[in-house]
Amino acid sequence: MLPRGLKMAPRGKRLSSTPLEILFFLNGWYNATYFLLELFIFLYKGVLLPYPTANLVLDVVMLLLYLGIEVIRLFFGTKGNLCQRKMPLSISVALTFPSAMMASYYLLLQTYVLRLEAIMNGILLFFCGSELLLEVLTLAAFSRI
Amino acid sequence: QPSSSPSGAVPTSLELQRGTDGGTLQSPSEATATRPAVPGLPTVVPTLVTPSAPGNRTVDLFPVLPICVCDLTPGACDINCCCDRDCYLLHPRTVFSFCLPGSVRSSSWVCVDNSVIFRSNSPFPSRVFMDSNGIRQFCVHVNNSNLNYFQKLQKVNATNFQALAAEFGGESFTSTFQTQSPPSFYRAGDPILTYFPKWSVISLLRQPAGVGAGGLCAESNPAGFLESKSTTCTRFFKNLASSCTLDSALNAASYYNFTVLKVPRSMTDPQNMEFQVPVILTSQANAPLLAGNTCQNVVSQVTYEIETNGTFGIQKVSVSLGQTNLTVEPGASLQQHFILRFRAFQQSTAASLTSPRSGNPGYIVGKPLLALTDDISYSMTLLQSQGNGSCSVKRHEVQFGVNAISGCKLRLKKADCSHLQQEIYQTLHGRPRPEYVAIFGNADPAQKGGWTRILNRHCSISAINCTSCCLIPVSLEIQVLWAYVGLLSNPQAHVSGVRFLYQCQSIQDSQQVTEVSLTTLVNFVDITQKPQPPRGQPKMDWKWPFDFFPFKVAFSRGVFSQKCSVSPILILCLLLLGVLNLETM
Repeated sequence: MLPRGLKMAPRGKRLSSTPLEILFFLNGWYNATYFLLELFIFLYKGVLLPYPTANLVLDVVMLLLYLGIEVIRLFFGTKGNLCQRKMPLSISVALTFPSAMMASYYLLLQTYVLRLEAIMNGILLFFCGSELLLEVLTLAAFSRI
Repeated sequence: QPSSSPSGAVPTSLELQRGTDGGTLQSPSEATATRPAVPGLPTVVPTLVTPSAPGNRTVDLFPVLPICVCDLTPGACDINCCCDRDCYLLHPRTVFSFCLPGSVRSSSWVCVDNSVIFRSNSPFPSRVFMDSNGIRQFCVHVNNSNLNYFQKLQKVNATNFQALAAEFGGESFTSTFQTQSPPSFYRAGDPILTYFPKWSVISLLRQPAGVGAGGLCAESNPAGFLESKSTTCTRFFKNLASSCTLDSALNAASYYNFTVLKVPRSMTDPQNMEFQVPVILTSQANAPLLAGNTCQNVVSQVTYEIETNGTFGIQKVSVSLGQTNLTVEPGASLQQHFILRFRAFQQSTAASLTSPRSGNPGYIVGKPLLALTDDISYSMTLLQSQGNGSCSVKRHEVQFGVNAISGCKLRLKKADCSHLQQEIYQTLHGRPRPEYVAIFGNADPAQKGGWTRILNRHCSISAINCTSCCLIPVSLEIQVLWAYVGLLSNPQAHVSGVRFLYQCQSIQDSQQVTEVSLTTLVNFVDITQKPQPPRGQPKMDWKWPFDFFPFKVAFSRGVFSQKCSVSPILILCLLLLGVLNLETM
């Protein structure tokens, strides 16, 4: 009854990684909290510290880019993992590297790094590392069929 | 089936703008950092802690100033002038005990607690200071130009000068005259000041006296105030033919072509004719004339009569000259007599001269309201009636701050309309008619700036349609607008404006009116603008509520104790019945 082009996964065998899905879920909520807090932190730094306007605009714009990358990465990761498809999961793996670069930037290179920001970006880097490892293992499991 | 994306709320993109400039924030460390600019205080450099964040650049505490305001000696080192290049010091603070104000650039540090900051990549230099409380502060040095230069210089021109003076200036009183120098009045023996309007020169009244054996004339001998003296001196002429018409001592005009100052303080305003007394010539005086071998009309005697009035000074000066003829010959001589006589002035207008002030400078309530007409100051007056109600020649004096009303009946004579109007107007506002009112109680009649013109509002003639009617005023209302100025602790009352408001009625020409009732009243209107009073903190006004359930029951139980004792018994009975019914079921 199905079109001949599509190929269903064998019934009874689930290759999706549950720990990876848990990490994606937690990372999604954590990212929402992270961005809201970052907006307030930028407000705090802009008011209290002598923030150059160009630096402030750059940091906020990069924060919005970071938000876009994270949303795409988490969506494709979840999609690939639950559908047991290699291409979305590969896209998610590829986007993990710019995401980690963004987190490193906010940890080390932005104009003023607060201690709270250092902790939060450290947690984000932990999420990126863990998800990268699990995604690679999941891709290997998908390829084994 | 694949699930949707995480349902977390995506934060809205917000364009962050810095609300305030960083330099406006004040912190204790900033006071510590800017302390070197205070002169006299020994500079305590805050303890420098190694910055925990790498990449912080060392702060340049002494940048080179473009203009060194304390470099007063070129080529030499000025002590404590930290921006002086002549000192050849890379670190002037190691040598000088303090820096003079203006010799270092004003620093602006923005500080937050160091525990908040992880690291800094700011383009501004930053360092960690130890606060006075021992708290480590992360400070960022901002080169704020607002601290080093005045902002937005104001351009002053003819149009906005008045606005700026009104905005930044304050109220001022009309000050009294300077009494230090020159003295305010002549004393006995003082030289008498004269003024030559032709050359605008102030000089002294001379009384030449004889000196030496021959009694030659000494021209520079001044005449003394209240010193009636008589002096004689001799003049010798080498060439009388030329001295006859050129020597001013022989010319009669040189003895009366000046004015005498009433009081010495008139020197400050010599152009004012009010303080000058012209010299009145009381005898015949002719110009010297050389006729053949005779020099005619030579002054041989000068007599000055000066009338004085105590501290009011000289009131009247008159001169009489005696003239003679001289024969032109070698060795001609002339003996001249100079007589000065002082006489007390007859006080014909003592009332106006001895009129006291109504305040200094502001008016005092109850003092007369000063009016002015033709340089004569007097008190504003109202009508006053006699015993039988008719108008009296005497008038009631207007007192400052005291509203008054008075009326009388004026007996009219048979006259035409214009004469009738004129007579009634003169009766209402008094004779002479007031033109100005003193702004302050110490106004001087000679200073027109201290007086304000009275606004007159006469009857409107267009409202009357009668052709053979005479419009006569029947009442005069003097409206005085006044206000306090100056300090709240020392308010001074001044008059802002005065208006004469007349009420009129028309009478028929055929109607024979023998007398008319006149009314005069004065109204003082206070237009003082008071400043905003200081506002206190609002106080809480709360109390326990006593009008709802627990308080209501507790309060009303004591009143209705007799009635309420039955209720619990009834309730208990009902409960028992309910229990019995349940057990029965």
